[in-house]
Amino acid sequence: MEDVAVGTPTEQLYQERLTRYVTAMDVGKPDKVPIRLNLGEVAATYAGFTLEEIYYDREKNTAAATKVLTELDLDVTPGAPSLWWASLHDAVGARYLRWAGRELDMNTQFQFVEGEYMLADEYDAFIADPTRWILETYLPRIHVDFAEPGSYRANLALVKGAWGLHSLLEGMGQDAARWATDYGMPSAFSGLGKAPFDTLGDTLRGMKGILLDLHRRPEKILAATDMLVPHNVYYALASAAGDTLLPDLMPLHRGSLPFLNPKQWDTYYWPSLKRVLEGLWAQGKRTIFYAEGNWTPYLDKIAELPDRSIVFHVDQTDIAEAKRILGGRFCLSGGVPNTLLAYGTPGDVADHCKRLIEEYAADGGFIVDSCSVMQTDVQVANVVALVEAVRAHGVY
Amino acid sequence: MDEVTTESASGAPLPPGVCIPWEQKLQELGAVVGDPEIIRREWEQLDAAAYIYLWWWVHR
Repeated sequence: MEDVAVGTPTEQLYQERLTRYVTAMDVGKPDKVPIRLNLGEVAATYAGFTLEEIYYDREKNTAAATKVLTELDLDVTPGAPSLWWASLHDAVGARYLRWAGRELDMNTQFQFVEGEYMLADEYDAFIADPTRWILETYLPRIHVDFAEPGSYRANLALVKGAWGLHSLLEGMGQDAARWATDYGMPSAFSGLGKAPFDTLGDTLRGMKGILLDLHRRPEKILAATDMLVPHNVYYALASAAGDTLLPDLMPLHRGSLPFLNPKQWDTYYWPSLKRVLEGLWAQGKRTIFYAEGNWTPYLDKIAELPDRSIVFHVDQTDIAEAKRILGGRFCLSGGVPNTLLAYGTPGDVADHCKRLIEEYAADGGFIVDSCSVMQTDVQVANVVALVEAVRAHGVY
Repeated sequence: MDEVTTESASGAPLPPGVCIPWEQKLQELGAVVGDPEIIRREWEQLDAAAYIYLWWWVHR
């Protein structure tokens, strides 16, 4: 947790913002509606950097976030805009990402190369000893430099990869501490969570692989997601260094319509996810249930979770239904469509935010955010308009 | 060196955060003349760091 000197104006600002944020997450009514913005690549535009610069140059990635949080009246910061450090991926020869400035134009969004990076006949090995499978099978497959374990190149890839990740995580912690002590800005989350089905589907079996597995080897999905529950709980807490004041961020993907039908969702997606969320809450760790896409049909199931254990994030989910079913027991966040932020006018954004606050935030338990990660299509003027509108209309 | 066990001492799969269990390392060390708890604590912290490194490539 950030360590801010007690009693100074910066500390007071830090506590004011943190209290506002935590009160809303506890479904209370703070002094103002909190603003938590998932500023991705748009922060590079805001700071005048190319995407190549924020993907490769960690100092510029950090500087973009610092510029945003010192100039916009936010309550918490999501951290630096680039999710990953491209150089770390280059050091190991990652074959699943394409980067601005490398093979893409210097201002083109990174590209993830979907694939079956875990083969269909590897479920048993993965379930029996996942850590060994990752090191001996998965990393040699996805990292070109690590393709021949024991070779000079592979040993270097391990050294650089481990050192690079340590350096990156240490730097992120130092940035968060500096933003807190120098600017009174808390972090929006600590730690990264995943639904076990998404662990399988995002980076291992791929979308095509896992959707076929539902028909060809469903029992393997059940066994693998069951095995992953304690690992995903552990990882979310360990990646937060044990912090439980802030929520972990859990981006959720295949649980959205239309990837699974309701029976598949009930059988293969929800049970293991629910256990992860309850396992985290049992240790005091709340989760930002970052429900990308449309989760409207599943709100009643999500309502089975313990009160206040999640912040339900509204992307394309019917916000009125989310409020009806989850409101009063769970904080909601989001509600400002990325299409509006990309193609609307500042006036449109301001009007939308005013309505959003009046209809969904009046009784507290609401955090304004974009519906999804703000990338290069979002207009900076609209981000500014969002913040100004929420400050104008979001005082309780 | 002997093949590293993929199971804990009880025969169950390794828990999260563990790559090489302390019990395995202790066997390899042989007799410990000082406080084994100090050694165990530091071993497990570094072992957990290796676990995080490996799983980071999956959870990213």
